[in-house]
This record gives sequence, C-alpha cells and structure tokens, in this order.
Amino acid sequence: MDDNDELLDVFLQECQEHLTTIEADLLEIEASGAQGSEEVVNKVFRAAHSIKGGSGFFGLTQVKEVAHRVETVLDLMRAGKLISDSAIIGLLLQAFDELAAMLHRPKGQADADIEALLLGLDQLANGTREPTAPNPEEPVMLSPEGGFGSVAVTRADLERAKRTSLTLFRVILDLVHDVDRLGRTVVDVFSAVSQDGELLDCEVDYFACGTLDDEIGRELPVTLVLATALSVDGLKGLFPGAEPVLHRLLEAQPATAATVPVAPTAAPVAVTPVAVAPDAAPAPSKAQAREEEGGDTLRVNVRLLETLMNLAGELVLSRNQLKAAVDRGDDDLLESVNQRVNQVTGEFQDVIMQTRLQPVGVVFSKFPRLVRDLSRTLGKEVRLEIEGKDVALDRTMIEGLSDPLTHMVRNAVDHGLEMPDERARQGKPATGLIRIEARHEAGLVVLEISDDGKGLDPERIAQSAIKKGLADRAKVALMSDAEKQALIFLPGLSTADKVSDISGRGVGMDVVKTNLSRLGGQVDIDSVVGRGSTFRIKLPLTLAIIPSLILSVENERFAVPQANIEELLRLRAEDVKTRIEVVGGTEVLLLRDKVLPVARLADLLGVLPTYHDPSTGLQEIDRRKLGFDQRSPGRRTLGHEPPAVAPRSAADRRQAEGSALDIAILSTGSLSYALVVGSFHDTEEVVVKPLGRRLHHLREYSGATILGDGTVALILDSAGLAVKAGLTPVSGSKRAAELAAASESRRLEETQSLLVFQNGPHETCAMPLDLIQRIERVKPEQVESLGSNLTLHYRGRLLPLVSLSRAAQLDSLDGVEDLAVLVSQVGGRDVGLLCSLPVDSVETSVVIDRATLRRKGITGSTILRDKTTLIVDLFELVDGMYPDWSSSVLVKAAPTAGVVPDKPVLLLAEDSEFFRAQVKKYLEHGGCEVLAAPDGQKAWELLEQNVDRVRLVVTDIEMPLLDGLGLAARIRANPKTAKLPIIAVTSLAGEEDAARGYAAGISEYQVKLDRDRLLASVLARLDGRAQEVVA
Amino acid sequence: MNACEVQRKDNLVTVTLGPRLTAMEVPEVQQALREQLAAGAAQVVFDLSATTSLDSNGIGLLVATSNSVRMVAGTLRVVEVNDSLRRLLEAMRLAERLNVTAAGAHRG
Repeated sequence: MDDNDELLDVFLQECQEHLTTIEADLLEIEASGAQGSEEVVNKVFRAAHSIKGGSGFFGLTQVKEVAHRVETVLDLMRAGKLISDSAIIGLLLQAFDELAAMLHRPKGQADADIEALLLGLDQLANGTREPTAPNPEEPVMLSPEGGFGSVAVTRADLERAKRTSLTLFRVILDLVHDVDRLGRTVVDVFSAVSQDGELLDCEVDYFACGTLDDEIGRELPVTLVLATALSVDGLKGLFPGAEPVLHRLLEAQPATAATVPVAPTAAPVAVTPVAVAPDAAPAPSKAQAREEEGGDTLRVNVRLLETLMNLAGELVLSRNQLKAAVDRGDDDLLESVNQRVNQVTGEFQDVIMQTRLQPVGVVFSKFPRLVRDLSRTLGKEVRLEIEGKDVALDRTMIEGLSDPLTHMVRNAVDHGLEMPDERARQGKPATGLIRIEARHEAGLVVLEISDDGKGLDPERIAQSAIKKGLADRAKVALMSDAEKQALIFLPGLSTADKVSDISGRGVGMDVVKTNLSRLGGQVDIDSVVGRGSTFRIKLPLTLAIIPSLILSVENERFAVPQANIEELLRLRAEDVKTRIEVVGGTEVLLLRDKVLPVARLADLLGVLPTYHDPSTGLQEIDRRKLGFDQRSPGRRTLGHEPPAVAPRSAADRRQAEGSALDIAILSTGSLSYALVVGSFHDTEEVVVKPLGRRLHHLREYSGATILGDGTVALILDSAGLAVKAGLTPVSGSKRAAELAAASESRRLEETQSLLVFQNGPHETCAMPLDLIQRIERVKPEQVESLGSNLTLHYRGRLLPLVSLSRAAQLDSLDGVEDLAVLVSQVGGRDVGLLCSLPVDSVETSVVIDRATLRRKGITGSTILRDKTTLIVDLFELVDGMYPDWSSSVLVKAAPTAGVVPDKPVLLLAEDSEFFRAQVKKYLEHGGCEVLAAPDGQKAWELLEQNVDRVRLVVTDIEMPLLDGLGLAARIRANPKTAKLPIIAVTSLAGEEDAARGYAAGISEYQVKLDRDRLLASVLARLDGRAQEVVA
Repeated sequence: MNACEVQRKDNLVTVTLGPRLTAMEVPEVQQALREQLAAGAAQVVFDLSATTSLDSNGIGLLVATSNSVRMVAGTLRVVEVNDSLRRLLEAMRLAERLNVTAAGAHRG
C-alpha cells in the first residue's frame, strides 16, 4: 500500500472524529448567544485548523480553502470581533457539511462547487455581510436525510412543492449501470421521472465523464433533485433493477441562507455522487475503499483488545486440556475443562459484545441540528431534551436506528407539535417540548420519543384509514382507541390536513415499524389528544445473540425471543372451556381483563398432531384432533398414509377440553396474542443464523439457530405468525368486552388476596390482604411485654400488638430474629399482629376447613402451595386480647345518650363463604348483629323471619338461586321491607351493572370490598344521614 | 456504415452523426475527434439532424468532448437536435453546457 494512502486514511479518520462533534458544538455556541462559550469556539477553531493543515499537506485544496475561511471566521468570533448569530452559525454549519462531503470523497473534492460558500465566509470575515430579503429565486439549502452534502433549490420550487404536497428527493444514479446495462434507455427513465414528479435539477458529474482521452461509457453519474408524490419505495420503482441512492431532502437552512449569493441557475453547492459502480474504479486505494464502503471501521479500546488476547490465551489452554482429557479418557478432567470452556466462552461473548457496543448518542447527536433547522423552517419553537446518550447498543443496531428515529423526530416537530399561537390558545407554553430518552429496562433498551403536542386523534386516524380503504369500517368500529392509534403504522396512512414536505406523506410510519422490526424491535404508542404522544421502542441489545425460550409442537422445537414473550401460562383442562371462547369466528383467550386472539402453532405451521401409542410403540397421527372418528379401526401411522381429512378450523377446535394447553402470550408491539404450543422447554441464548435463500420468504421465521444439543431450530417471528394467522386485535369488540368483564368478575369473585406469613418456622398463616395497612420489619428488642400485653414503639407511640402464640396458642416467637408486624385497624384503633418473615401475598381461591384447626383467632385452615395454612381471624384475636375494645363505632354513634342501645341487625347475602365470613366479621366488629345467608333466596327467607329487626341489607350481586338484583326487587316490592337501605358489594364494575343495580332498588353500589367504606356507609345509612337513591 | 462523417475547416470540426450515438458508435466517433483535436481543432460542432437515439455512452461522449475542448479553450455546439433528444438534454441540464440548438434553428 502506498504510504501516502495510509497517511491520508489516518487523516480522514481524524477529520471524521472532529466533524462528529462540531455540529453539536456549533449549536451550543448558537444557544449560548453573545456570551458564547469561548472554550467551545476554541474547540471548533482547533478542529478547522487541523483540517486545514492536513488538507494542505495532501493537496486537498478545496478542503483547505473552506477550512481556512472557517478558521478565520472562528478566530474573529473568539476575539470578540464577530458576535455569533443564527445566520453565522447557519453558514458555519453549511461549511462543515461541505467539508464532510468533500472529505467523504477526497478524490473528487476538487470538483465541489464551493464558490458561493467561500464568498459567504469571506463576507463574514470582511464584515461586508448584508442581509438579503427573501425572494422567490433565492436558493434554499436542503439536507439529504442520512446523506452527505447539501442541495440548493430555489425558494419558488420549494414553496411550489409544499403547496402541491410533494416531497423532495435527491436521487443519485449511474446512467451506465442503472439504465443502459439494464436494457432501458435514458429517454425512458427521464420521461418516467417527469411523469411522476417534477425534476427540479439534474447534475451530471462532468468530472466522472473524463475527456476524449479517457475511456467513455465507464460511468455516467447523475444527481437528480425531484419533487414527487411518490414514497421512497415508489421512487425506487421508477428504476427497476437499479440501485439508486435516495435521500429525502430536508430544509436545512433558514431564510438566512440568502447571505450566500448562489445564482439560482447554478448547480447545487455540493452534491456528492456516491453511486459509483465498484468495478468502475481501477484498483481502489485503502482510503478510496473506505470512502466507498462508508467507513466500515471501528475504534476499540486497547484495554478490551488486551482482555480479548487474554481470553484467546485461556481458550488455547482449554483446548490443550480438552485434548489431554479426551486422549486419557479422564472424565473428571473433561468435566473441569467443560466448566472452563463455558466460562471462557461466556467472557469472550461479553467482551466481543462490548467491542461492538456504541453509545446511542451517536444517533442522537444529529437531532439538535435537525430539530433546530426544522423548527425554524416551520416557524415553531421547540425545546429538545435528550437523555441516556450513553446507553450502548450493538453497532448494527445503531446504524439501523438512524433512519426510523430521524423520521419519528421529524414527525414530532412537524405533525406532533402545534404552532406557537395554537399552543398559546390551548394554554400550553409556546415552546413545545420534544424528549428523546434511552434507557435499559429488563435486559432491553427502551427508546422513547415524546412530545407535548396535539397527540394522535384515534377517530381521525380511524376515519382516514376507512376513507383510504386501509381498514374495514366494521372492524374499526370494534377497535379501542389504542388500536385505532396503531393504524398509523398502516402503509399509506396520513392524517395531516396539509401534507408537508418535512415528514412526507404519511408513508413513513409503516417503514419505521418495518425497519424497527428488522432490528428485533417493537414500537408502541401512548398518546392523549391535546397532551402529546410518546412512541416507545423496545430493542434487544444485539441481534447476534438472543435470549430465547425453546418450545415445541409435536417433536419440532422452535425458539421464541424472550423479548416477544409477555407471559407463559398453562390452561388446566377444566379451564379450557371457560377461558377460550369464540368471538366473531375467532378463538379468543380470556386472560384477566384482556381478550386475546388465539393462534395454534401446529395449525399455523401445518404440523400433524401425533401421539405415542404404548401398545405399538409407534408414533401415531392423533385422529381425534384431525376429526377422524375415534371408533374407526383405521390406522394411519406417520409416514405411511397421509390423512385425507383437512384439519379442523381453529374455531371448531373445542375438543381440546380433554387436555391442558401450554400458551405463550406473544407481543408484536401493537398486538398481543395467545400462541398455543405443544410444550415449553428451557431458555437458551441462541446465536441467530440467517435463513437460507429458500426459506427467506417465510415470514413466520426470523432466523435459525443451533441448539445446545446440536439440533437446528427455527426462530419464530411473532409478527409474522400473527400475520399468517390473520390475527386482529379483538379487545375492542362489544362481545369481547363483555367476555372480559365477565371473566374478570369471575376471577374476582372466586379469588381472594391473602397475605401469607409465618408464625414460627413451621406455622404458615394467612389473612386477607385488605385488612393490612402496612408491614413493618422489627427487631425483637423493639417489642415490649407489659403484663399480658405486647407493645411496639411505633412512630412515636405505643402500638398494641397481638400475637398468635398468646391468643391462639401457636408456637412462641421467642428467639426468632426476623420479626414483622402487620399493622391493621380494628374498632378504629391501630393494632399490630406479630409474625415472622418471610411474608408474601397470593391471589387464590381457597376452600376453608372450618373444623380441623379451628380455635379462637383462627377461622380454619386451607392448603396453600402444598402447605397447611392457618387463616387468621384478626377480630377474634383482638377481642381475645383487648376485650374492652369491643365498644363499636356503631354503638358509639347511637343517638340516645345514656342508654345502651340494642345492636342494629343487618342482613348479609353473599355466596362466597370466605367473603361472607369476612364481611360478617367487619360488620360485627362495627357493632352490628349480622344475619348471613349464602344466596338471595335464603336471605329473603331470613328477612321475612326477622322483618321487624333487620335495619339494613348488604348483598352481593352474583349469587345462585336468587341474585342480588332479584333480592333487591323483592325487598322493594314488599311494603314491609320497601324502605330498607340496600348496599351492594360486588366486583361487577361496569356502569351498566351499577345502573341495573340502582334500577332494581339498590341504594348504594360498592364495587370493591373496602372494609372502612362499607362500615362508613352502614353507619351513615343506619344514622339516616345518607341520601337514598331509591325513595 | 460509418458512425459519423467528419468535416474539417480550419480549426472547426463538424461531426455529422448517423441515426444512433450509442455504445456501438461512440468508440469510432471518439477516435475521430481525438485525432482532430490533436491536429489542432478547437471548435467542434455535432450535427444530430439524423440522430434519433442517444444512450448514456453517447451522452458521456458529448460531455467528454465538452471537457476536452474546454482544456484547449475551444467551443462545442450540438445542433439540429430533434425534440425528443433536446428535451432529454434540457432535462439533464446539459443544454447550456453543450450549446444545444434545436432542429432547424441554426439555419435560420
């Protein structure tokens, strides 16, 4: 290699390092205004100075000219002779753009047209700069998004493109390779371009054409500037088979660019044709090669390289040991080598990862400039906040993120934020806020781009989607707001009233989503109309190695990236029927308050269901699942005779009741769905291998991997599977909402939240979680024994304690170090239950044995997590230890002074034994006598028998025989009971449920069992203070 | 058939092209022009009155000729260009650099 080439290469790398920070530095100088930071100006000056020096040495005269003038301007600035303003910074930014473009292609730098730029810089230096009024023919500098250099178009052209809703593009192509050699004619191409847009400029690379002494027809690079309605993909379609370099053009300079008097007819200030065919350049030098490959190098910390060297040494040692172990057949040594190889490989993986990691700030660094330029062009005021620049991601991810993030930031400025006057009208600060944040979260990198602008209006998006035929009106009607907002990811959707040239024509978000999916990322939206939007992108740290769950269907194993898995669950055979329903012909899973579409992996992949026949030892096709008559004797053994009967449709598959289902809840970002699989295996970090060409078109797989045991497994693509299964979100449908509500209600009805704790090491106890206000960890010495009572110094006072050992004759806690106190309130007083750690909360559906272990303070027992657990009755415990507390709130509240009134009698109807016992306790502790019944019918009978005593009814709604509504109706219909207050305590949370309740005669509707609220209501109603809803 | 006819008068060379100026014809025309420029010609006129087809090689030749004559401070004109090709050269912003005149224009 030529020495000069090598030196040039080093110089170019250095320049690149200078240039990466200069933009941010210039913006900082601009932001700090007249009091500009001297240190930063000095830094930029030094960068310009180094570039000037090196370029002079290498004969890069044009680079030197620009750098020299920039240096002069900066020198004046640091001497205080020139006060920076946005025009000066704008010109300096343009100058550094130009330097970057020329240094990117040093051999062609002499061809760059820098006359106007030099003139502008000279005028600055000479103090002859004069403001020029904007005129239609003045050039406006545009920046190619993600590309180098800048492009000038006249303001008139730009305004016309804006008015006609066209997007500006720079297209660089080589007419020899991209047209002639593909059998097309130049005339055809220009004619097609003109038909689909307006050709604002075309620059032929005269330099590349050479002279008559050069070989002609080697290349003919041209740069087109187009205003078109086409998307990037549409534009590519104009050049079938070719590989043009396309860049959307952004207005990079404010009107002050007019200080550069470029003649309107002049060629663009700098256009960098990069689409030079590789075979066109004879024997490229290293610098040239780097130039064409876009700088495919990486700087690595020497410390990391040393660590890698050490690890390589370790690996060599391990290999030697392995060889010795195999030769000697020494199993012990083999095991130890195995461990060593494991460790070294793990460390290797970590360090190699670190060499590939780059801070995401590399991408973020361009946003201050982007936002500055865009906001000025659009007349908006924007404050940009960036956080988490140091969060590191794999280099390939960083590169892939640039375009989608740029698009989203541009969208936020252009579409997200309102104009300042509009913001003022809405009472918002005139300056909009855009926030970009990167952070680590659960092994993933989360990037958020948020704005405090107008937000995404779900209705407008939905209408737009319908109008454009992108979504079906019936389906949209069933969608939730979030699902409607997610429609912006549909190709071709735009809701901007006036499509602008800044963010294109709404063709971008689908591409953004696709690009992020390629990086293994998911994007979701959190937007509130009038308040702003947040786009949240979740990305794996690397694409090379992915933590995955291995699952199987039949004997086929697959890997699913853990990032796509929300939850795993096993549906018991008896739950299949109640938890899987059919909505609109599609199976759905009811999961808590969610309704998720169901896909069956075996169906999707066409895997035949089989079972192992113990009588023959053969793997047989499962005829039952295929819809064969099980009684038929016909045998179809795998590999012999394929079944003639098509598999039953997913919706028809209700016969799975016979067996439990393993289900993975997968997410694609905008859609969650339930994937029924065969079974789950281990988690593994899989190394992703690309699919071969023959499998590449299969969207349901994102790659392949080799598992620990050497077998090949395909990696499932959650988005691709959803598409293949034709899944749509169903949570918006009315039927789905009903099912979800019913499912949630059943769950709430059947389950109780219990706090599980230890008395002694061998006594597991539990009590209702909602009785407990706080849990305090205490030391044994904090507990004081005063006579028979225990107390704790707690928040500056003495907290009375109850202990199961004393009140319920359980094991003593003496000598137990890990003590805790469960703080509750009984009879309006704080009381603590002394127990030992650990404590844990569980949601469970318990059946209480009220006989075997019943004693004072212990309601009974149940089995939790295979352990006998005592259910503690706190009220009874307190009663036992503090009998004088029993004067209840209700008795105290009794109106007649001096007379001890009878306890008020309440009727309680509740079918859940557990809740019935709990509510009865609360009410009794509140000072009431409670008549309890397990259903509405029994309650009515009790009421009839005690009609003169009962003063209030507390009832559940969902009960067998006679439900709460029926009971209420019956009470209201009978003149003797019609005036009784009725309080319903239920988990049926819908407004319609409440309305039905009130219509049936319920006086008060309490959605969740809240002891204090219930007691307060009972008290108020007995006292006649509450206003009756039903007269 | 020759790709072109070359006429020389003093330092003016007139190259009258055939129906096509494409990769097939370019080498011959290039060779002829190179010889003429080497022999002192500085003004080149391409007559495209018969030419209906132009590919990127042809365009490359016109630009390369322009670059060559500039080096000898000469001039280049491309005359009698039919509408279709004139529109193409205008679209490519080459009309000015190549001094293009439309068919019939230079006679009048």
